[in-house]
Amino acid sequence: MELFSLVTAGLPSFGNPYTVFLVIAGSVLGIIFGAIPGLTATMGMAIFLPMTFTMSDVNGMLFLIGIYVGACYSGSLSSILVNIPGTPSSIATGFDGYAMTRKGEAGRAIGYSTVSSALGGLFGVCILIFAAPVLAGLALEFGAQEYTGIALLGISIVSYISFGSTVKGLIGAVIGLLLATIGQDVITAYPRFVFNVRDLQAGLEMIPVMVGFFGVTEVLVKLEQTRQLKTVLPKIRNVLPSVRRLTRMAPMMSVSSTIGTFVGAVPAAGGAIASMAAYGIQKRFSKRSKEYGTGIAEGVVAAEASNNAAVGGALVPMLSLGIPGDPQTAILIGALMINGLAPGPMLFISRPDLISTIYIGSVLSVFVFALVGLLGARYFALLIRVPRRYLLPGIMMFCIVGSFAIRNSVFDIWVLLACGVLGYLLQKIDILPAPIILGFVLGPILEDNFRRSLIMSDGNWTTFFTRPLSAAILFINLFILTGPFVFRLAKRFAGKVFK
Amino acid sequence: MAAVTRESWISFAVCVFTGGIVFFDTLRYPKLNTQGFGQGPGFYPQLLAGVLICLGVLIPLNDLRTPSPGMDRDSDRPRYGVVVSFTGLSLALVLLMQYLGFMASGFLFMLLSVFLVKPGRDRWNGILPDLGVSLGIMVLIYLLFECLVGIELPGAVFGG
Repeated sequence: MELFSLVTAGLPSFGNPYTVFLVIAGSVLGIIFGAIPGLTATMGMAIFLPMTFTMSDVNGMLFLIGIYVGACYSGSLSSILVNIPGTPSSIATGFDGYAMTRKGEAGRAIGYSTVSSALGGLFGVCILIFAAPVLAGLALEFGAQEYTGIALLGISIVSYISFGSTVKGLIGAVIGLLLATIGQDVITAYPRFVFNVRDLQAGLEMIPVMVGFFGVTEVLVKLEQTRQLKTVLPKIRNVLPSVRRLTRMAPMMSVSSTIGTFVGAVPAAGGAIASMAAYGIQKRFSKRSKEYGTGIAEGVVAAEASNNAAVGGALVPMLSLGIPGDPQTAILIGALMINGLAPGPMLFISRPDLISTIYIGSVLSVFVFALVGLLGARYFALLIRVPRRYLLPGIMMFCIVGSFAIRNSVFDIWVLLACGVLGYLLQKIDILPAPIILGFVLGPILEDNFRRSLIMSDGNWTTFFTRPLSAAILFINLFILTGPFVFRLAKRFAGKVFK
Repeated sequence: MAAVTRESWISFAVCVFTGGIVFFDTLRYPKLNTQGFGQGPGFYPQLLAGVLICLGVLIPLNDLRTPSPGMDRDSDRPRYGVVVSFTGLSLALVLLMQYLGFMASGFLFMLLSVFLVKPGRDRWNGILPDLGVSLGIMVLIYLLFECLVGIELPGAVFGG
């Protein structure tokens, strides 16, 4: 009954036509951003986040979730049609999707992609509805020591699964943690790293930093490329998939959705890893294993069901613990904080209507993209052709206006540009923006709880190990960071012993 | 014998330099005795600086242990000149906004950026569409932010 109350508490919000309009508008914007190669869900959310400042917290969250959900789906359009993934989470979709297009089955591929994305998305939201309150309940038992461990866990995982090396991922995260220390120290109010700049006293605003690293950095990276690929779009016909075939694929879709949800719940994993994992596992165990990659619907379904289910999964740690499940949920955390709300277990108690609205809004966004995808795919496909010379300067303008909008401060625009250039330069040495931003978001949580733990224990570091839950979380951290290295050493040692 | 790549040396330098600056800056922060072990506001950044330096040292060591394949380089030469020029235009936009207003400086930025991003041989083709699109994007931003959402545009809209 309590769960039922939590799920339905937000229903009255949807009686307002403006709220419904924002969900639809967000989903459509997300589809546009996801469909255009080079634009991502993260960029779309970062650019439009400032537009939510004048909205209520409910409307702002729904708008951003619409963009998130829509973009996670529509990245498959360009992946299927021209073999250029619109978003990283659509890479695996192209393996079979583009092959289907070459066989003249582009419409069918889009149809299967749309339906499996929708069903995967709904599955992910169902898991979210059941899992988030349970995890939030557990988190109420957490103290400062446990939150320190959880923040470290987020950083460890993002570093471990970063594309490129774990060490570079950790370096990115530490850079993000250092950026978060700029400004007045939270405990002593002593100004740190302000270099006599008055505007730095309050620290760096989250939005310019996020938009800088996710938006401006990407613009600069895309500018390097010498030419825009000329894309020839195939004809899109017979989009609606066969119901009988879909029913036969139901068990496979369930497995992919489950994989997607649980991978999505891992901090920093996201749809890209979820879809790759699901595709790989389905290929491994399928009776048609050898046909994967040649253009079969099962390949498209495996990837797409998983990548949209990851959305629901990523929202679980975000809502219940305040730990972002991926860069997109880091932006959602930013949106909550702008409205003076802190994600975490207390949000379930203080604002059940907001939690419920997020559940219902996610479901509504799924229906919007499913309808738009099935009816309008051939029109959205034209977005793939938008010339880069208009797209990139336009995105830059949106980034600049958005950063200014937080405090009406030109200083935030300078922060935006500085972060964009820094992110671009760091990418050259394989240090990617995602760990930096996750470090920046988790920085205040980590420092605050770490120092409070030490203050409460009079500087005794064993406080992190004497509490069982904290010790368990720290052990998991250690396992994630050193496990692969230890296994390799053990294997080498065993090989030498048994030779 | 495995060699350390150039990217690894740069990463090492970035980490050590950044960690060093942070560490030395925090040495002058006060050490307070109100927190049980009296490290003050500099303790946490110093810890992070130490971690960063250690991680920086790991990168070349990792190369020596396991040779890195090196970073993939695109066959097309990256247009670094365009990146630098575009960044310069962005900086100029922020400076000019205070004097020309957002719409005028933004329009100039859009037009010059569109011109810059085009490949060399196509630069002078299609100037009219470029003008139209640049103006269209500025109008869209004005309508979306100033009119629809009510967010003030930077530098006053039309100057002053």
